[in-house]
Parts: sequence; structure tokens; C-alpha cells
Amino acid sequence: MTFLAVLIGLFVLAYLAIGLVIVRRPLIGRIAFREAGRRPGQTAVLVLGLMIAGAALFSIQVVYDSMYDTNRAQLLQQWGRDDVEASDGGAYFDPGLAPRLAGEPAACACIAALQNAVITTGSVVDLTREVGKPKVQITGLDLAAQQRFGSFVLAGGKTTLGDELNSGGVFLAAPLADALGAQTGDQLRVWSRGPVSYDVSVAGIVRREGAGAYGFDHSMFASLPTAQLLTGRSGVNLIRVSAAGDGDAEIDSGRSAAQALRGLLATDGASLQVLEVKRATLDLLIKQTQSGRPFATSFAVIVALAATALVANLAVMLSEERRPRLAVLRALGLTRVGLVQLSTTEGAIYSLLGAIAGLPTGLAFAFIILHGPGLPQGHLVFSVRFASLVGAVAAATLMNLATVFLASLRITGMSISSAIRDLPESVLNRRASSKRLALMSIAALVGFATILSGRPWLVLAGGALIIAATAGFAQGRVSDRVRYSAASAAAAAWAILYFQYGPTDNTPGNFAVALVVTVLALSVLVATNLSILELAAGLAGWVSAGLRATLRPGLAYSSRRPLRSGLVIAAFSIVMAMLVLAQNLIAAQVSNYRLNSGGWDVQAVVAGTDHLSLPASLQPRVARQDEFPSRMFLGPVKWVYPASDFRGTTDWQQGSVTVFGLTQSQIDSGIGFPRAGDLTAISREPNLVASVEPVGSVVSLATNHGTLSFRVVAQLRPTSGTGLNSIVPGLIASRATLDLLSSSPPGAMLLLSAAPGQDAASLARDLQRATLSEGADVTTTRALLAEDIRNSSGILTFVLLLMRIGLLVGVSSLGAVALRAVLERRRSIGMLRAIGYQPPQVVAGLLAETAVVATAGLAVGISVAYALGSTFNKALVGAEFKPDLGGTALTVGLVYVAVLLVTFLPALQAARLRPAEALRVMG
Amino acid sequence: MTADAMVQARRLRKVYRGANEVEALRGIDLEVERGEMVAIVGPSGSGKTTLLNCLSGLDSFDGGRVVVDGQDLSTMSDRARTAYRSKNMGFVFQAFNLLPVLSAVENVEIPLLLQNLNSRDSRRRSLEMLETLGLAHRANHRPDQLSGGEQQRVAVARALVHKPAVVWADEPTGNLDTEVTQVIVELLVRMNKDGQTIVLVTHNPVVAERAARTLHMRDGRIERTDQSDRPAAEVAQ
Repeated sequence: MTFLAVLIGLFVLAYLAIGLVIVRRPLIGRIAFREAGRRPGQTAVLVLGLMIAGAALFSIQVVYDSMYDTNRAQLLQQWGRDDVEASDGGAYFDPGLAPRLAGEPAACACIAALQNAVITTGSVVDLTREVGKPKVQITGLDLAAQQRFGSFVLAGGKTTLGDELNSGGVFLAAPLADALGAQTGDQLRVWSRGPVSYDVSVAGIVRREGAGAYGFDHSMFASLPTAQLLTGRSGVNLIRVSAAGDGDAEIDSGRSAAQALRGLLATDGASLQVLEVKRATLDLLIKQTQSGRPFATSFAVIVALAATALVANLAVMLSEERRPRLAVLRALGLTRVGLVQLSTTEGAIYSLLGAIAGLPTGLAFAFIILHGPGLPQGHLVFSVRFASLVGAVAAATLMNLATVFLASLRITGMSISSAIRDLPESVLNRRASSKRLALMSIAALVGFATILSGRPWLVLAGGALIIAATAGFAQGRVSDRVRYSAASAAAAAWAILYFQYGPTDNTPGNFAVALVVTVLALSVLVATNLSILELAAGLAGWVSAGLRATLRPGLAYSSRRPLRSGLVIAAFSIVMAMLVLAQNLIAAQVSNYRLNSGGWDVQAVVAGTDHLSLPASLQPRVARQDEFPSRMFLGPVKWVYPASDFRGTTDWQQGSVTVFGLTQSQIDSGIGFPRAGDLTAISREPNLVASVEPVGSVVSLATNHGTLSFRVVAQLRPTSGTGLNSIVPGLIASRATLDLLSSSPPGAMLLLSAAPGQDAASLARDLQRATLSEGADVTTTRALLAEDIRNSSGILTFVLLLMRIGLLVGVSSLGAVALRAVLERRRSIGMLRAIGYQPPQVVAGLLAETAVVATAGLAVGISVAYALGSTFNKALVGAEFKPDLGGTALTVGLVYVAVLLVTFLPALQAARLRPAEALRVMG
Repeated sequence: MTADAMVQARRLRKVYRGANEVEALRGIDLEVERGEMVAIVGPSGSGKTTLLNCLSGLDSFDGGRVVVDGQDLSTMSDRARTAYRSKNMGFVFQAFNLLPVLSAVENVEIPLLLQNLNSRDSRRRSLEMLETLGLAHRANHRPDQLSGGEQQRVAVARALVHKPAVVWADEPTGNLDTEVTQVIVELLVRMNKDGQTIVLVTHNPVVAERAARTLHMRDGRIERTDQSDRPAAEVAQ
């Protein structure tokens, strides 16, 4: 049973139960509906508050659905009609094999076409423009079979099956042409295997659609004979297979086609590996979407939690406002259960309306997020799924309904006589009841059980639960203030210390639990002790008694109603913490050039040859240099990640893996990047490598010599939040490892540190000029890191945007609370006005009240971010926590402005109340 | 107007406008003497509370004139009226209207703080007032920790602490039982005996008969006035 089914099931059950109540007790239903419709303005405020959870949850589902559909459309375009591929790990084989297989009488009708191909990588220099690019995918195609595999679309819009390539020219994919500045007719020099180059002319620039969408962005297409000339080999190294059918039917028949091809190959005695390339890529996309969706949804849940705090506040206020009327119903014979049923039924109406109202808002949020920088690239498919819509409505409704239900329990214990006259409830000094003791015992046992599970996030949550249970046991033995303060301080300390110094666990769950526990604990601690602020107001009283009189009621409302204040503080602080953390992550990446670059200033890469040396003329300008020969494997790849990694095991994929070979001295001196694990271990065995992937990961490459597996023994620090290291983009191994990959195209990389006083950009330009004839691509590491930041900023921008929406929730919650406060306190305000409060004093008091709560929320949020930031930053980008003070100050400033704006109108409304009118209001 | 009049109203009119226009006060003429305790009684809707609100400056009126302790409220701005109320008037309401988040003493000292009396003196005088009313031991309790009678005594303390010229009480015993009503009435009478001018609205004849004068209202008019035979001080005894 899927989570969605459970969610919908619970939603249906909840509303069936409410429906049953309405049928069996029509009076409750009638009163609930009448109350909901009695004050449309008030209902609108409630529904606005209740819609936020739905909007947040729905927006993330739409974002993910859209990203999935966009990426799926791109993948389908990239693979075109190529569904299955057969290869021998890059090795060349008889080009007669494909025609033989196609001519087999037993060939399956599920195979629509077979196409011989050559795929390799090389360096390309545009001799006309004097610009070069390495790592270009060179795809040679048997154009006689091109019909089924689709047409190329030339830059001018003309479609062609590649006739232009028969005269020895090549097509350049538009991104490669842009990078080279190439035009049709330009002369290119291509290195593919070894130092021998071959010159070709550009026959056309092709768009990344149709047949031209195949392979890397930096792709070059040629006829099979031209590709064979470029590689110096007479055979082919790939058979592309198009399955019968179109669209999804084609993908489905790909499975039969792959099986049929395996059978045909076995009959023929060929030992090629057959991969369902299109399906496998789509499966990977589904897996990535499934694993990423909970991560992104967790941010939406943070916003929804903030909204829940608002809903809880509104529900508590509403129940207090209704207290006299509810008391009359109790007096007339409505039971406590009936009271809960009444409140919950009314809440169910608001919850459903709120969740539905959240849909258009969620769509708007999703639109904003999807059109923000970095998410996703290319043509966007804006996708709204029915399942997402229903799921978001169900989840948001249940969250809100649960909140309303819990809030309604508060009023059941009211004293009917006091409530009818709207007099204060008398407070009894309660000691812990047996029911409460049982509940606390269960909570403590659950806490111990989760600790025993050993999983870090469960241990963290379990510890917090035990602390809360202990505080529950102490009820009636010490004052509430002492109890809450001690428990919350202990829980916050526990969460911070365990997160910082406990077992390493970089999963989102661990961070989320640490964040939520710390925020809640500190919010309770601050809300319980807000009365300290009253001391400050007392000090102000020494200066001006009038100022004290102005501030006192507002501060007292904040400090002496810790539940309400705590909820708003928690709402503010959780999103503020996330916002500060995300801002600092971006700042950390930008500001850590030395750390991220590994001390290197210039990177030069070449393909086709395993040697790239620094010209003698540039030697004096370089302080340090290292040359790394490499092999670029292009073929079936499979990753197995450690058990703690959510990615698990991937399927075999057509992919490319570059392996850099280090000398012993290079291994001993390291290559500049911080790492976990022992880099020197890679010299012990050729199958041990270093990578940005976690220690213990295993990557398998299906070569023509069989499957080669490499185990990661040292983890290199990535250069950005994408998890890649763009300075050393591949596996780091010993030189001996390169011998295992002798059939893969060679390459080389040269890393340079500029001598003191030398400009890296100038050095890169001069090196580019000097190595152009070798097809090298020279870049400054600063440019590479900037590109990294652009690529990785998408997710951070997404988090920032979502958290800013969350802050809006916090601000709105203060506005709603202020508005409700004016309604709820009309009589108190009337009394204050009667005994002499001037209207500006009423405004100032309410503004002070909201400002205090907002300040507390911001302070808690920033404190939590600072407390957890160090570990969070190290885990995500391996960087020290460097607070973005400017960004934080700007956010705080904007929040204050927004808070004052949303509070000012209700405050003004309060100030304009005529005392006699306000005092007349009853209940 | 007599020289000793604390409150004087002339041809006071108040109209509530809406779907149905209601003339709540129909040209009231009234004088309350300094140190007098006046009760306003009448059936619901007769205009008692409206009259009290207009006399005390809580509400505006549509015609006539109100003078309190020599100050003409009808010519004052809202700001000036508010400032005047804070210095010269005290209020006691049926629902007590204490701020639930403040303790008893904090509620009582609000009027003193509004007059910029320093914190120490405000606290001292508030405690003294609570002590006078027998509530010193409850000074740090919040309203929800006090009984109804105690809450109303705190409200009375708040009304008297800044020694106002006149105290307005709207159904001060409406939410109290007989025994507690008696306590509150005795309290008001004692204050009146000390020279405090008090105007109260009540439904309760037991309360009204302790006043020196009782104004009977019906349909926005003073129907009749019952004058006690004894001077106010004697009535109080």
C-alpha cells in the first residue's frame, strides 16, 4: 500500500466519521455550518491560514512532477528511437554483425531497426576560430539505417538524414558549435586515438533534437566511414537498436527487443552486452525523483509545520472567543464529546476549504519556484497530476484537522458558569493524573525503544522524547516555568550536541529531526521566559511611566500566554533557521575558493592523447604543476553505494567514467583536496580508487576484458553542492589502473598553481594558445567553480525561495494573530481606552507585542542555524560555517518591515475602537 | 448649574443610527453633586448604560451638553477626553474587565502609570489601595486566580487608585452573588462617605437604595427621581 493510498484512506475515514456525526446528530452539523457561515470575514481569515499547508505541499508536488516530466521529455528526446544498445565495453567488432542479426529469419518483429555505430571521445580544434574543446563525443552512424532513428535538424530548420555527411564532413551539436564558435564550412582538427589528428570540415550545425539530441552536449556526428577514419579503426563498437512501436509502446517493446537481441547474439556466438538504454535511463530518473521527492517535500513540511502553528493559534483563539456560546450549549446538555465533535466538524469545513484554496496558491508557488534560477534547465513541462492534487489536499486537510481537533480539546474542561459570563477560568494546581502518568510512561518507553534502534535520527528523537516525558512526570512537583525551562534547555542541548558530536549521519532525516527538536525546544524555552522582557519594560518605566504603561499589556500578553507565543516563535524560527542555513551554504561555496580549488588555479584537459605538458616558456609562471594521464571509459556502468546511502544500487547504464592515473609521488603528496579515507591505499591495488562518492562505493565498468570493479577507499571533497569535483572530474587511481582500461580512449589533465604575482586568467589564456594544436581546453579553476555554483545553486535557490514563502507564513501568522487579538480583546481594549489609553498607545502596544514575538522567533531561528550550521555545512559542502551576516541582516530587516505592516492595520483598527462600543461586546 | 455640581447634563440626546434608528437618550437633564452617590435604574433598553457612557465621555452624543467638574466634554476632542478620563474618572464594569495577563497590583497601577507616576510610587499606592480593600495578600495573583468578588474589588481599586473626581460603575454587581454584592456595595458606599462622587447603573434595588438619589429611566428619559431622605453620608451608614 502506497503512502498516498494511506493518506487518502485516512482522509476518507476522517470525513466519513464527521459525516456520521452530522447524520446522527444533525444539530451539531447545523450549528457547525451556521458558525462557519456566520462571519464570512472571520471564516476567510481562518481559511487563509489553513490553505498554507496545502499550498506548500501541493507546490512541491507540482515542482517535482514538472521536473520529472521535463527531464523525461529531455531524456526521450536524447535517446530518440534508440532503445537498446549492444557493445563490447568499447572494443571494436565486426560491422557485419548487425546486418547478419537483422537478416536472421528468427529476428523478432519487436526489433524495428539495427544501426552500426562508432562512439568515442576526442579533442576538437576549430582551426578557423582557433578554439579547442576536449571530451567531445564522436558518434559515427551507419546512415543507411538512419531512417528509423530519425532526422537531424539543422540550425536553419532543415531536416536531413545525414546525406551531407557522406562527403566526409561532420555535424556539430549546437552547444559544441557555440563553445567553439564554429560555423558551417569551418575546418576542424580531431584527435581521437593517440597523437595522430585528422582534419574534417563542418557540414552543418544540428539542434539538440531528433537524431542530433543523442549523446553529450559536446557531440560531433559523422558517417561511419568518417568516424572510422577519425578513430583509425575499421570496425564498429556499438549496435543501436530501435524497438517497434512509438512512444511508450516503443519503450515497452524495448524489453522484448533486448531479449531477442541477446538470443540472436548468443546464436551468432558474439559476446556483446545488451542494455535497455532508454528504459534504464527512465528508471534511473524515476528512482532519482522518488528519492529526491521526500527530501524536497520535507522543506514543504517545514513550511506546513509553520502554518500549523498559525492554525493552532487561530483555533485556540476561536475557541476562546466562542467560549460563552459553547458554555451555553454545554449548559443545555451538550456533552464534552459533543463539544469536540462540534468544533471538529466546523474545523473540518475550514480544513477542507483551506486545502482546496491552497491548490491555486500552490500552483502559483510552483510556477515561481520553477521559473527561479537553476530549476530545471531547458523547455519546462508544467505538470499537475491528479494524484499530487488529491494527496496534497488529503495531507493538508488531515494536518489541519488534527490541529483543530487537538485545539478543541482545550476547551472541553471549561467551567460552564464562568464561561457563560465570559469570566476567567479558575486555574487549579494539578498534580499529574494517573492517565497522564501512563501517557508519559509510554512516551518514555517509546523514547528508549527508538534509542535502542541505533539509527542516529531515531536516537536523537528518542532522547528528546525521554526528556519531554521526564518533564511530564514532574508536573505539579515544580513550577511550570522551571519544568518547561529545564526540559527545553535539556532537549535543545541534547539535539545540538548529538548532532555535532554524535555518529555521522548526513541523511536529510537526521538533520530534519535535529532542526525540529532544537527549534521546538528553544521556542518553548524562550516563550516560557519572555517575562524577562517585562523586566526590560520595567527598566523603561524608570525613564517614563507612560512608556511602561504603553508596553506592559502587550508584553504581558506575549509573555504570559506562552502557548500562543511559542507557536508563533516556532513558526518563525524553523523557517528562519532554514533560510540562514541556505544563505550560508551559498556564501560558504562562494567564499571558499582556496578550499574548493584544492590550491589549483588552472586546469588543462586534452582527449585523444595521454600526455599534456607545460611549454617551457610558461614554466617560470607556475609554482606547482601535476600532469595526470587518464582513460575515458564509455560504456555500461553500474554503481553500488554503501548501505547508508539512499541511492542504493543503480542499474547498468550507458555512461562515461574518466579515470586519472597518479604516480606514487603524486599519491604521497595528495592532490590538494581535503578527503576522508586513505588516499595512499590506491597504490596498493589497481582496483582501489578515490572519488567524490562515499568510501565503500563500488563502480563497475563492463569492458571488453570483462567487468572491472573499483572500490572507493578515499572520498574527495566535492567542489559544490552538486556533489561533483569539477577540478578532478573522475576517479583517482594509480597509474597501474590505467593499464586495466587500455582499450578506452586516452586523455590527460594538467593542473597548475600560478606562481606568486601571476594572474591565473592570463596564464590560462597563454596556455590555451600554446596547446591549441593539441586540442587542449584550458580553464581557470575560478571559472570552473563559478560554473559549479551556478549548477548547484538551483536546489539552494529552491530552498531559499521555499523558506521565504515560509517566512511569509510566519509574518502572515503574526498578522492573523494581531487581527484575532483585536477581535478577542475588544473589551480589554475598550477598558484601556476608557481609563485613559490614547489611540497611539494602543497601536504601540500591539506593535510591541508582535515585534517581541517576531524578534524571539528570529533570534531562535538564527541561533539554531548557528548551532547546527557547522555540522550542516561540513556534511553538505565540506566547508566551514561562515555566517552571511549581510544576508541575514537584510532578511531580518525585511521581516520587521513586513511584521509592522501586517500588524499596523489591526492595531489601527484597535485604536479606532470606541470605548463604549468595545465594552458592549459580549463573547 | 449649582456651584457644587460634579456632573451636569443638559438636553442630552443620543441616537443609534442603523437600519432602525433608535433614540436612546431623549433630552436628559441631570446634575450630580460633588460627593453624591447616584444610582440609575430602569428596565433593559431604557438607556441607562448609554447615559453613563455619554456622561463619562466614553461615547459621543448627538445633542446637548455634558460638563464634568467644570469641563465641557462636548467641546473636547477624543484625545482630550481620553486624557481627561485618565486623570479624573474611574470605571467599574459588570464583567470586571481586568487584563487577564496582569496580576492584581499590576492591573491597579495602570491609571497611575498612565499619569506618569514613577514605578515605585505607583506600586506603593496600588498596594495601599489593595490593602484598603482587603486584598493585599492577593496582590500578585492574576484574575483567573481570584474569585468574582475579589476581581471586582481589584476593579474598584483600579477605579479609585488615582483619586478620580468621579467613579462610573456599570452594573458593578451584575456578575456577583448576594453576599459578594453586599461587600462591593459597602465598599462603594464607604468610598462615597469619604467624599467620592459615584454614579452607578444597576438593576439591583438593594444596590440602588444605598444611593442618595435614584434616577428611574424609561425609553431614554428620566421618568422620576427618588431622593433619599437622609444625606449621602447617613445613607452610607
